[in-house]
Amino acid sequence: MTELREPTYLAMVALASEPLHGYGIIKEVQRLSRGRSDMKAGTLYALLDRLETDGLVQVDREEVVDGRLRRYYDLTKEGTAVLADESLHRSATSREALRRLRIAGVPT
Amino acid sequence: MKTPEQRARKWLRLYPRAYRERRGDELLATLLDKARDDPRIPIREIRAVVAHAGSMRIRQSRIVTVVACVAMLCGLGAAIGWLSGPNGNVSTSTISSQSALDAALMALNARLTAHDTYVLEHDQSWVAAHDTGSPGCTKAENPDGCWVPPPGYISAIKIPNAPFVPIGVPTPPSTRSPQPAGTIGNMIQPVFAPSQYTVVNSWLTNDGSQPIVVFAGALAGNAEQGVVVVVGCVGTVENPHTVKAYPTSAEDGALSLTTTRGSDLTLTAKDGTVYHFNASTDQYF
Repeated sequence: MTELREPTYLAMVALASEPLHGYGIIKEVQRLSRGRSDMKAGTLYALLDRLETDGLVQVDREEVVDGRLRRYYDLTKEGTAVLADESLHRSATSREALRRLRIAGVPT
Repeated sequence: MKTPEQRARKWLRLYPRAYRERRGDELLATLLDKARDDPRIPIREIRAVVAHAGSMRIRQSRIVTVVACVAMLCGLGAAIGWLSGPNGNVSTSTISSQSALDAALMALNARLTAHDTYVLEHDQSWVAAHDTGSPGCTKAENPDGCWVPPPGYISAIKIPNAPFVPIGVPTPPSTRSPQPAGTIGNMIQPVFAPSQYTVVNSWLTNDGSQPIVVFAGALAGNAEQGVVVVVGCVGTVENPHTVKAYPTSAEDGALSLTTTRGSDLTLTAKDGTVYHFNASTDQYF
């Protein structure tokens, strides 16, 4: 599995705690990124297509709200495992970055 | 005044039918949810939809009709002015390729899908077979100098088994040769053609079966500067980032391209059939 790109990673993190529909993922990604990421619908569905194809997310359920279809997505077991691996990797990289910054005298 | 839903539905028509049937309703719902924050549907949102829809079409059909012409993309007579002299030849020595390309991209603004870079591979055997050169100067004798590409050279790029599908309302036939001043086909300088093109716009055929994807590329690394114009590309997509393309001669149905006014575009096939495009209407979006 290649390294997850940031939008993909954020979307998977968004789905880690509960199934979400498209707009729910977008809002959660915005919150997770502290407003830095404004994921576009086209980007989101391109990403969901890939994740579904790779077996990392699956449709959890569908609802119709105010006449509009809401399709909820959830991480698969494999998706959860990939997210865990990626998170550990990123965490290790972050710790190392902070260690080096401290050595360089940069307040962290 | 269109409602956000009408606007969103219009852009979603870019997706292949099968994809629309599978995801259209939820995509619409998501776009409309976002439109609660900004009812105008921001251009960045539209760009992402166009980019995704374009990639879905390319991936699904594996056959893409490609037409590239920066001047047409501009939809500006000014672009023609930059590129052509009074006799229709390229006049690019005074313009910066990047700035002209940038200008083209900016002019397109709302319709940009500049996200993917494709590599067009030229068929060198065809080039060798057609390298007749100019009187007193062949490419072999002077590769960087006076050699002028033979007629038809890369003015159309064709991939076998990918027929050009006409769109729009045909207008009366026009003569392909000699091409009038301003005819893009005359301006192509394939000797200096860039190897990378960027998708900058796309249309759908009337029946929705094929996208017309527009590529633009900037010349670089040569004495000649300018924006390359590739006319009537028909390509087979081997993967989402590679389009194999081959130059074709007039004998296999080359297309010439003429910008007429504003955002209009006319393609002329070898048999004289003229296909007219109007990028400013909703028809192709």
